[in-house]
Amino acid sequence: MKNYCAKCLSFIFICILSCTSKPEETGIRIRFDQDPESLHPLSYGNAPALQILNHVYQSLLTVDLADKSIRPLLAAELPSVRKTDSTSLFTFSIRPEAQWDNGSPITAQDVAFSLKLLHSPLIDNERWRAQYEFIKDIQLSQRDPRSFTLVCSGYTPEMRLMAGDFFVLPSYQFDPKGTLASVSYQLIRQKFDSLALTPTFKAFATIINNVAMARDTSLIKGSGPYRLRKWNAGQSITLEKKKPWWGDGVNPHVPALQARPSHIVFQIIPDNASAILALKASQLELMDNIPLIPFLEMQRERKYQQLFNFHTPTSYELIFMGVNGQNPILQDRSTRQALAHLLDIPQIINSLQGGLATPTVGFVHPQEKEFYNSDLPILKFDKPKARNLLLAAGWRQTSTGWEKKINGKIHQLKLDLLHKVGNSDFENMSLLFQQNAKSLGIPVTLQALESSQISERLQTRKFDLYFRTLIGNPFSYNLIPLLHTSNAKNGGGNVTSFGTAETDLLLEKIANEELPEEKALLLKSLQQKMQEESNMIFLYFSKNRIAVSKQMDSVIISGLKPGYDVTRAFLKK
Amino acid sequence: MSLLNIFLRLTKFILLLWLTASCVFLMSRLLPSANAPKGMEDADLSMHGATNAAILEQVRSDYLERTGLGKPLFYFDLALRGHALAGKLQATATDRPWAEKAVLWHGNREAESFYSIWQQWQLRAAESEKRTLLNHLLSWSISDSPTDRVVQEKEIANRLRASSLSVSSQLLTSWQKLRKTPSTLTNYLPVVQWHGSDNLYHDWMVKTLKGDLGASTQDYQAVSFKIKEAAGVSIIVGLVGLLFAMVVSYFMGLHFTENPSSVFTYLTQQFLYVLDSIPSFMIALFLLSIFLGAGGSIFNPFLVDDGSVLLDILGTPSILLGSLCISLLLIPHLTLQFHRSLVAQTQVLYQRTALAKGLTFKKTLRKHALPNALLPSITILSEVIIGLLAGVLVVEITFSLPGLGSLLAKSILSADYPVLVGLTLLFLIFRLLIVWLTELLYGWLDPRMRSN
Repeated sequence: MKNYCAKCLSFIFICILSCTSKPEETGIRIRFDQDPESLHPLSYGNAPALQILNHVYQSLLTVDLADKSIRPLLAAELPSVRKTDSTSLFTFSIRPEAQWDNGSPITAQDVAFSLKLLHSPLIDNERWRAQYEFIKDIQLSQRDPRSFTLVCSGYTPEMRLMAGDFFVLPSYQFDPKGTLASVSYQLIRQKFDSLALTPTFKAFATIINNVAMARDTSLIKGSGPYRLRKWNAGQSITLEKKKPWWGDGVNPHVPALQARPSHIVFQIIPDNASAILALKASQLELMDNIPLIPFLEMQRERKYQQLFNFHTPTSYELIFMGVNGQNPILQDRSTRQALAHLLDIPQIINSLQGGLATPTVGFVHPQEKEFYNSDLPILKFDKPKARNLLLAAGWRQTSTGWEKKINGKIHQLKLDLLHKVGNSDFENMSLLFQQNAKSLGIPVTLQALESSQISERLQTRKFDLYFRTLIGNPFSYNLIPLLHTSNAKNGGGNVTSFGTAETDLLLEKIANEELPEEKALLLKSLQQKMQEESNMIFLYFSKNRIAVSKQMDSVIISGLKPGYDVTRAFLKK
Repeated sequence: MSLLNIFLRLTKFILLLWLTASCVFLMSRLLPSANAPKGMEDADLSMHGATNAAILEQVRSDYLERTGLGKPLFYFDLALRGHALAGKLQATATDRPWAEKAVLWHGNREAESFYSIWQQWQLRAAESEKRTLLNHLLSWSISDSPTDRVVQEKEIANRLRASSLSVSSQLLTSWQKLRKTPSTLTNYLPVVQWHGSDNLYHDWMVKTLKGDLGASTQDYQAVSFKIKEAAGVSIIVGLVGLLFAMVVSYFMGLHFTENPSSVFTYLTQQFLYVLDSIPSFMIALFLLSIFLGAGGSIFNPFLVDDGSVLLDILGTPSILLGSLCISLLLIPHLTLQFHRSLVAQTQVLYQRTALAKGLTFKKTLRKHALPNALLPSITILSEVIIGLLAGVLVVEITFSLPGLGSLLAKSILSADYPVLVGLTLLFLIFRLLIVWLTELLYGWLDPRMRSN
């Protein structure tokens, strides 16, 4: 009997092993932690989807991950800018070699179509309508079908990237009947509500809001170097380089158009532990966001040092604590500053992040040396200073805790700290803060909530403190949506109610400033003001933990999302 | 089973189904991310491409109109009479919070006159004045205690007094009048607001009764198709795992009972207890690690692309490993229970009679004790099958199997409510079906049940 069982089990195991056959072609295998779900260029839902879409579709301008510069991709060169008093005009010209898969050239009409799609009614494009609201019109050149001008309202330096940031989509594929060709962009912008009632747009919307657009490999096609070869839902996605591809024949050679790997395979492994097992068994060439402890262990072991290169590029994800400036007990600036001194950034980084994080004093990354205000101090746990600040704000320590009379009523200093559930980093940071606050006599209650619940509490201003991640970038410092007082009402981005008339003026100046020296002065001043106001207390920029197999060469590792670029990589034999 | 009995049961079943599905639907509509357009919940988290509050507001209201989510939720609504009256004021979105409270606390007439003068004042006042007064009014409306409220009211009065416009004095007198007017208690009575059949619940119910479960908010795919695909994977993995576990537990249970004192029995029993106590994710990871360590690869995308033949699907390493893992999770429970049930049967008197007749122990076991011992197993099996349908989430996540468990988890995390409602309905129907089948089976197999 036992022989029988043992034989059975081993037979099954051998069966399983034999089912795996050797792969015919080699490709670069990268890990994804979730399935993209939808590869619809307008309504995709997560970061892996965007990563794949960036290989399949192209936009006019792109960002080179190696040196963080803006490069022309579909555009032949960076746009020429002309400013009038209320508008700015960006003139682009598309590369002559650019063409779609069916051989037709990419023209300004395709760009116009893409813009119209971003603003059309009845489609899932709300976030694009908000983001690209500033593009008021597109003027096609009469002489050159590849040349066009975007008319944008006002001017901010970040428009230099944003005006060319959207995907250029093929109208022959997305709009075979030519519904949008007969409607001008301005008409769509102005007559949005009435167009939503017309039967043509209703029919068009059913074509676009279609599962085929999100999942069908034959419809997910763009001008990019890769084509979606196979999508095993929930398991893997294979991208195959198009042969021939128009970008290969561009002379002189453009680095942004280089696409070396013939196959890229994205393995979807939701479980971190399974992914690390696969990495250690050399079944993956690249894995990012490796959990801290396994990463440190692998770095120390000789066996893995020989197999992998370990990188910790500092990212632009900023961990910060927000304080509700509308709350009566937190309205005084000194109270908020006192709370800032209850955070111990070096301790958090050393004990929770293993030293792998970049402390910061503001929203500017320390890497951006000319804009970062290095004169400001990094926050350390300073109990006497916090106590003095509280006393200066009018708080009195009694037997029941800190008390203050505000508007004739006695308020107790009791705080609620919100953070995302399931994230052990935030949990531990909250516990450390709670501990430090307790030593000063301030009771802090921790609430772990789901993201959307936190968003709702923030939008309705029903919170005291919260920990969250802000996604920064080195290009735009237009912080008006996040910090201007006009956006402090319910629904706006200024959830901490930061700002005075002075900071508003500062923000407006920064948004329009182009000269780096001037901008540096203004940004340093803003960072100082933000630290004084302490509505948003910035902690650190996190570091991404990436392991790259030594078999793969020329991978670009960067702080910008997704953190790596394999289009110039190749596998060594 | 009389016809009336069956009919009553069926009605109870359908009622339960409808109630649960309605609850899930109504709750899903009340959750925060249900009414926000995709990708726009976190307006405060990105520095690139952010827009100001006015545009965000406009886009959000367009979204509610496009998707029809601005409609009332249910056929009727319970609201305080004061709030219902405040609706007639037709205040703008920014003014609505304090206007409602003004009607509630001080009566309709005074609030209406104050509001009309307020609107006139708004046309003439400076931006900063407007903002500060609005802030004060809003904090007045959210003040918890009467003392707070009085303080805020005085503050507003002071501000109006300090203002230099002529309209401000009119506003001030109206404000003082408002403060003095007490509210009528009837404003606090709940009142039923009837919305008719133009509400979200009605639309959803009509669609579901027609069989249309809607489309997923993630990729527009029909919910029934998504569930079918995921169910396919779950069923294959679960079925293979369950069959293997049943076979192994049957033979092992018999072996344990036939050789109660052998070393193998003792060791295997201890091993099964240990296996039962190990957390499932450790078993799954352990299997994965020895498989990968032995050189196997479950991530192999270059196999034949169109492998939709059943045998090909069965041959996928991840499915086989998943089934093996599920078997390992089920075997301890099934074996030990079966063994105990068999041992209990061997101690009953009819067993002794059978032995006295001259049958060997093995023969009496198989012929007499086994059928009786298998009966409780049916209950256990039905429980196990119901549990397997939800997919063993740990197995699915570890081996990247897109089954029902991970579909459920994904739909919850990405707020994909049509799929969630569909899955809930499926699980409920399946569960009730299995329980009903088990009862029928019991009745058929066990003559003692029939006479009841």
